[in-house]
Amino acid sequence: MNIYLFQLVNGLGLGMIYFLTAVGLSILFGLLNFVNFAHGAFFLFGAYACFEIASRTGSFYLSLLLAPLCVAALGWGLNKFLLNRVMHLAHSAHILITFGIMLVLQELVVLAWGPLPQNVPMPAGLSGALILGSFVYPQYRLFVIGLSIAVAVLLYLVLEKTRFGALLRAASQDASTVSLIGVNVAGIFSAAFALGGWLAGLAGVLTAPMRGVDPAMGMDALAIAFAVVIVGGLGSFTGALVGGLLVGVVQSMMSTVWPEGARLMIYCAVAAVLLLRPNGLLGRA
Amino acid sequence: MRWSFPILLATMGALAWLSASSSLPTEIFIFAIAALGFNVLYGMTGLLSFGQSVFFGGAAYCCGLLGMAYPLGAPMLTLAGGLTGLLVALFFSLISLRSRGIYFVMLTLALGQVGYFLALTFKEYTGGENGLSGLARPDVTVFGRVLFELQSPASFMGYCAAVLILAFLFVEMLSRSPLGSVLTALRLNEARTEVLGYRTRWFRLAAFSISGFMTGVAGALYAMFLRFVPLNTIDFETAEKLVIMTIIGGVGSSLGPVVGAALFLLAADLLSPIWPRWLMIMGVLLVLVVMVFKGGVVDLALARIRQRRGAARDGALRAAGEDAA
Amino acid sequence: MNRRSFLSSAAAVAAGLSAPLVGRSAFAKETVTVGGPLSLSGVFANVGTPVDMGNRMAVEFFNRSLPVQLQYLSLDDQSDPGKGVRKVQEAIQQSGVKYFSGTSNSASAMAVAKEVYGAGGVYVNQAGADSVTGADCNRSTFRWPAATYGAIEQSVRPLIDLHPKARRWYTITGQYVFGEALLANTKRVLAEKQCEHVGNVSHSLSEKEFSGYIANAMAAQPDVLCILNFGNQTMDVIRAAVNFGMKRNVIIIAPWSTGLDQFQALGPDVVEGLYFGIQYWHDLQTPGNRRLLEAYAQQYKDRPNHSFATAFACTQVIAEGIAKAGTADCAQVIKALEGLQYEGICGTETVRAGDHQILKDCYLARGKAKSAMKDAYDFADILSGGQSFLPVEQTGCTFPA
Repeated sequence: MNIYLFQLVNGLGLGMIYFLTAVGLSILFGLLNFVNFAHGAFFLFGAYACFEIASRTGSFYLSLLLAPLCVAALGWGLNKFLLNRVMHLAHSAHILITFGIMLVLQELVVLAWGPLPQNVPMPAGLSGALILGSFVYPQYRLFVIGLSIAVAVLLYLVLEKTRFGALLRAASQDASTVSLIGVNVAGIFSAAFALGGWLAGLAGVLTAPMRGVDPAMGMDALAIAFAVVIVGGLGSFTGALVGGLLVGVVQSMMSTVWPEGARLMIYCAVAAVLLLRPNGLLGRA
Repeated sequence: MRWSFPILLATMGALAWLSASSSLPTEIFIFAIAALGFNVLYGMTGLLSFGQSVFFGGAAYCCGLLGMAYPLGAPMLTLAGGLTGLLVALFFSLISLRSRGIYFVMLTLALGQVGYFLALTFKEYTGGENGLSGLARPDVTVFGRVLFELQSPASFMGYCAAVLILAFLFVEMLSRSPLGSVLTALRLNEARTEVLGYRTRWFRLAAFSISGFMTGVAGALYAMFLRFVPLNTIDFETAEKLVIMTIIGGVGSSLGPVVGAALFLLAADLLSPIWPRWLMIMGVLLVLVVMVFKGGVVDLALARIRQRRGAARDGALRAAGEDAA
Repeated sequence: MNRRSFLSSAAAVAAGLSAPLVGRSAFAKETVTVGGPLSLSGVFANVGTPVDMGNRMAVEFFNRSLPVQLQYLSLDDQSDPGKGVRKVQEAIQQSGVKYFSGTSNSASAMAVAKEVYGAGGVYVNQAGADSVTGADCNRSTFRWPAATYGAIEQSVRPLIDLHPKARRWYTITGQYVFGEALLANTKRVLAEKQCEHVGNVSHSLSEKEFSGYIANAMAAQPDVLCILNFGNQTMDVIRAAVNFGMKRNVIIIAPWSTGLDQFQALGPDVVEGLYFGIQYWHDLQTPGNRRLLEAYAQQYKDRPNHSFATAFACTQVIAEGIAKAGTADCAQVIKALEGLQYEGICGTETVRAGDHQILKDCYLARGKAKSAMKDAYDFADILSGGQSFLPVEQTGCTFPA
C-alpha cells in the first residue's frame, strides 16, 4: 500500500484516539466554561486504574468497564468539594488551580505505584494484527478506533437528543433560568464533570495496553488534548473531532515527510491555527 | 509598600547568612529575578505565559556561546542575556498579539515547545540532550580591567544579589510609573483601556519586552552560575517552576515573586531528601493560594499585619473617643 | 549552622560511633563518604531509585574489606542537572565529600564530572554518552558501561553472524547526540559486513507515537529492524513494532537495552524472539555477580536490574581503588585504579589508564517464550558476549595536563 495512503489512514485512526483524549476537555469548557488542566491527571488515573484492575483480575475488559467509572467518581468528587467554588473565577484561576491538582494527583500516582513504567498486557483476542494483502494494522488499534467512533456517536446523541444533554446545554448558557424551572443545576454540573472524567479515564484505559503506563503519560496526554482542542476550537464537540483528526493526520504524515519534526508539527499547527484564527478553527471565545 | 525594600534586603541577608553554602541563595536570587520578570507579564499585565522557559533557556545558551567565543566581562554577558530574552519575547508577543485568555496560554505553551525543539535540533551549538558545558564565568570587567572577581561562590552570590536588588528596584519603579498603571489597566479591562485611547498592542509589546529582558538576565546568570546549560532550562518544567513560584509568593507585589522563589527552592532543598514527593505540597499550596489567599504568601502576611494594625487603631480611636466623650 | 549541615554532621558522628570496636582500639577507621548524584524525584526517578539502592548496598557490602569506613550520601538532583551540580558543589564544600558514584542521566553525569574534577575527587558513573570517556574525559572520571561502540559491536555484529541471510537492515534512530552515535557505529558495522542499510527514520526526544515510523519501516521491507534510542522510547518502538506484526517476518534488535526492567515493562509475549544488546544480566555466571546476587537476596526478593547492578559496579570500582591504594587519598586512588584488574559483576574487569573506561563484557540476548521461563525473571538467554572498545587514540580523550 502506498506509504502516504497508509499514513493518511493511520492518521485518521490516530485522530480518533486523540479525539477521545481531548473531547472531555472540550466538553467541560463548552458546557461549564471551565478550563481543566487536571484532564491529564484524569487520563493518568484511568490508565493506572486499568493497570491495577487488570493485574489483579487478569481481565482487561473488566478494567475497561470499571476504571473510567473510578475516574468519573474522582471528577465528580473534585467538582463537588473543590471546583464548584471556583467556577466563577477567571480562566487563569481555573488553569492554575487544576494545574495544582494535577501536580498533587501525579505525585499520588508515583506514591502509590512507584516511578517505574508498568506493563498492561493486550487483551487476548486483540493482540494480533489484521492483514489485508499489504495493509497491516494492529487489531487492538482497530478496536480502539471503533470504540472511539461509537463513543463519539453516543456522546453526540446524549448531548443533542436527550433531556440531560438539553438541560446541560441550557444550564451552560443560563444557569439561573434553568434552576428556576426546578432543575438541580449543581447536580447537572457535577454530572458533566463526571462525564468529562469518564471520557478522560476511558482514553487512559484504552491507551494503557498500547504504551504501557508511566507517571509522565498524563502531561503528554494533556499536551495532545490541548493541541487538539485549540486547533479545533475549545467548547465544540465537532471542533474536538476535526482537531483530533487534523492533529492525527499531521503527525502521521509528518513521520514520513519530516520524521524528526513530527512532534514539533503538532505545536506548529497549534501556533499556525491560533495566528490565523485566534479562537481555533471552530471555537468560540 | 514602604517596607518592601528593607524586607527584601533582610530576606536576602537571612538567606545568605543561614545557608551553609552560597549555592542555594544564588539559585534563589537567580530565580527570583526570573519570577519578577514573569510577574511583570502576569501579575501586572494579566498575561499568563507558560513560555518563559524560552526566554530563560535561550538567554542561557546565548550567554554560554558568547562567553566561549569572546572574552566578555560578566556585566556584558548579563546584558547580552537580557537582550536575547527581550528579542525572543518580542517575537512571542508579535505572534500572540491577537490571542486572549486560554488561547494565549496555549500559544505560549506551543511556542515553548518550539523553543525546546530548536534547542535539541541545533545540537552542534547547544549540546543537545547533554547540555552546553565548559562555560566560563568571567569576572566583572570594565574596559578590560577586573573590578571584582566572581570565581568564588560567595562573590558570585554577591553579584546575583546586586542584580536582584536592581531588578527589584526597577519593578517597584515600574509599578509606580505611568507605564505600570497602563499595564495594570490592561489586566483589569483591556477593552476599556483601548477605548480610553491607549494603543494596547504597544503596551503588550512593552510588557513582553520587559519580562523577556529580566528573564533573560536571570538565564545568563544561571549559565554563569552552573558553568553549564542543561536542556531543561528551555523545557516546560522551568516555565512551570516560575509560574508556581510567583503565584505562591503572591502576584500583587514585587516582594511576592522573591518570597515565592525562596519558598519553592528552600522546600525543594530541605524536603526532597526527606520526602521525594514534596511537589505535592506545592500543588496544594498553589490551589490554596489561588482559591483562598489570592495574593499569595506575601499578601497573607500583609493582611495579618494590617489586621493587627487596624485593631490597634480601632482601639486607639475608641479610647480617644471615650476620652473626648 | 543550618539544619542540613547539622544532620549530616550528626550522621557522621553516628557513623563514627558505630565503627566496629576492633578498629577503635588504636586508630578509628577514617570515614569516607560516597555521594550519589542521582534523581529520586522527577522524570528520571525510575532510574535514580534503583541506582540509589545499588549504591547503598554496595557501600555496606564493600565496607567489610576496606581500610576505611565507607558511608553513603544520597544527593537528589530532582531530575535537574543544574540542581545536581549544585548539590555536588555543596557536598564538596560543606561535607568534604570527594567520592561520587552513579548517575541517572548523561547530562547530569557530565556536569557533575566537571565539578568533581575541579575539586580533585573521584567520580565513577554509568552514563551512556560517548564523550564521558571521550572528548569530555578528565582524570577524576571513570565510566563503567561500554559506550555506543561497544554496545553496537557486541550486538549488531554477532546478530549478523547469527543470521547471515538477513542483509537488509532498517534503523529507527533517536534524533539526538546519543542516537546519532549509535547510528554512526551501526552504519559502520553494516558497511563492513556488506549488509544493506535500506533506510533510516529519525524521531525526536519527546516522541511517543511510533505507528507512522513503523509504517515507514514496513514499507522498506527489511530483514532486520534495528532500534537506536534509549529508555522509554525503545520500549514504545518495540511495542509498536510488535503490535504491527513485524515479528512475523522481521528480526527486531534493540542494541541499547537495560534488560530486566524493560522486559518486565514489555511483558514476555512482546519480548519473545526479540534481540537485545545489554550490559548486565542477573543470570551471569561470574563470581562477581554471584556475590552480588547473594547480597541482594538478603534484602530483596526479586532480581537486581541494570540500574541497581551498574550502581553496585560503580561503587565497587571506588572500593577496589581504595583497597589497592590502601588509603582514601584521591590522587593515590586514581593512580591505583589506572590499569587495575578486578573481579566485577561482568567477570574480570580492567580500568583502562588512557581514558578511565572500565573494560568489560557486553552481551547479545534473545527473549524467551513464556513457557520456557524458569522463573518470573528469566526473560532472555545470553547468546554471546565480549569486550569491544575503541582504542584510546580514537576516543578523542586526552587528559588535560
